[in-house]
Amino acid sequence: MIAEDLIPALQGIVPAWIVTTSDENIPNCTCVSQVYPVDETHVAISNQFFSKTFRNLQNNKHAVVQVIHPADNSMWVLEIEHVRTETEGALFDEMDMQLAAIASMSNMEDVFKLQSAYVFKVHSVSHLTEAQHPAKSI
Amino acid sequence: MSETGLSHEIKQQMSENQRQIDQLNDQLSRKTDEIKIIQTISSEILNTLDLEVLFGNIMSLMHEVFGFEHCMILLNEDEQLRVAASHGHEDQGIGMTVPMGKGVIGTVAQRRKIMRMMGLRTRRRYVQRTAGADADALPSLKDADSQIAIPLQVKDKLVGVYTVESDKANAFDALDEEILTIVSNQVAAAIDNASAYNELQKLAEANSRFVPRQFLRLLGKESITETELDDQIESAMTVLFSDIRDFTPLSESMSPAETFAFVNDYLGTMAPVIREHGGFIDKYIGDAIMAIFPNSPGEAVAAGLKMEQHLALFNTRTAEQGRPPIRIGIGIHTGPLVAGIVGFAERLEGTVIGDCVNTASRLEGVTKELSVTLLVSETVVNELADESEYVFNSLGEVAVKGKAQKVQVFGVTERL
Repeated sequence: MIAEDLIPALQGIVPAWIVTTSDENIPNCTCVSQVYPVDETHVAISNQFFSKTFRNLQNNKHAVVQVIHPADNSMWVLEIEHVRTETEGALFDEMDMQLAAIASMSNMEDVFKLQSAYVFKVHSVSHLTEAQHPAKSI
Repeated sequence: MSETGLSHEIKQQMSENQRQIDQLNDQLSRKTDEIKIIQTISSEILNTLDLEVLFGNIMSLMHEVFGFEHCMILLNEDEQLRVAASHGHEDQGIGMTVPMGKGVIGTVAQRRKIMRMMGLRTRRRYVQRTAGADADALPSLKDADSQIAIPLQVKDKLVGVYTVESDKANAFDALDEEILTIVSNQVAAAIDNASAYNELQKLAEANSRFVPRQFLRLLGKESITETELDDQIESAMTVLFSDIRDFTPLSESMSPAETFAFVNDYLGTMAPVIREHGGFIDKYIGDAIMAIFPNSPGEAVAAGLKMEQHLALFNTRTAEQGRPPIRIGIGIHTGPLVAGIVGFAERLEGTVIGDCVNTASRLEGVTKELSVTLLVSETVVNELADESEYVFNSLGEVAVKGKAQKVQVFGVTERL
């Protein structure tokens, strides 16, 4: 599902956007610093603060995430479904380590702490072609 | 299926095959490069113990073969990482330190795991904006946007961190991680080797301060590890004895710490003269020096006269500290001596034994009575290759304990 070509878009080079919905079906769109590649059919995002996104996911496990490929700024939309939450293991350690490395540069290692890794199954990956050629204003 | 359709399919298949062949060729060429670099680095490691040279060579090679333009090697020193070498950085940053757990390098060191991080600029900005904090200055490539850092480990010991940076956002992939893992194992082994060697060198140096190299050379040994009890050599040598006159009353006016400082100041002034004249110090006995000149008595006489000059300088210096001048006596005698290792298996010492030692000591002892600083025996005068350099002043005969014959003694001054 996740082709090798898409991996650069999952390296946190350009922040991604995730859309979730509340129990009243109110959408919430927020920025996440990285969508991590887990395997060919899974991605993960880090939960540092208990934000609305994670509250929403308790109600509706389905979400949409948009990532940007750093080579050509092409946009990709992934339909994802929350399948598990990890608080230990290889994936959690790797994500935790990256966060610690960045946060410690600004002495924020105690604030930016990974609470958990949210793992999602990827249902579809599509290229957002419309966004590539925005209408020029005259 | 039509003929055109079939030929189109064959063409497509062929181009797909070609693509796969190209891909395999690329992989093969990369593997060949990897093997080559590993061989080169292995032989570098065997051939050099100088880490600075080794790091420089390894980083140049990695740049040349794999395009890792900006690298740093940091060493673990007292739970801090110090930049030991850098390649491709405008500001080399040598000597800068990174605390454990700080930044990419510090985190890799703390967790002992490789890390590949992209989009560093965006991520840093995100934390800084959110936290409103400035980043600490850490050694890094200006505008670094991608980084791989790998812990350098030997068994369970962290010896350092190897890091590669790039100003491009997406510079490294899993293959880069692989090659760095292989190379870093070798680098870690090299650091471990070199530090073991340095430790050994330091030990040898410390040893040579206790057992002089010249003494070992006299015994025909290169290192203290080759010496054994009963090693010995007999040869004609010159012994120089010197002592501070009336040191006991002087030392009574000083605290033990002051005495130590004073003696070390005095020995620090005098002892180098011995070395400069081809001799070595066999031992210190309190403030006394017993030195051996294996080559010629002339060197011992020159050293004795130089010590007199140094004493004058020493006295000028201590006068400024309000201390009275000291006087010393020096006795020099030449004759057969045995240099060797004495003691028992658990506690050995290198020393010289012979009548000659007693005589030199006795001559030093009578300098006070004869009102001279330097006293030499007749044998010394006779054995001088060129006695025209000095003026010898006969001061009669001196009896030496255990010797039937008295020794003719001379005061010495330089011929002006």
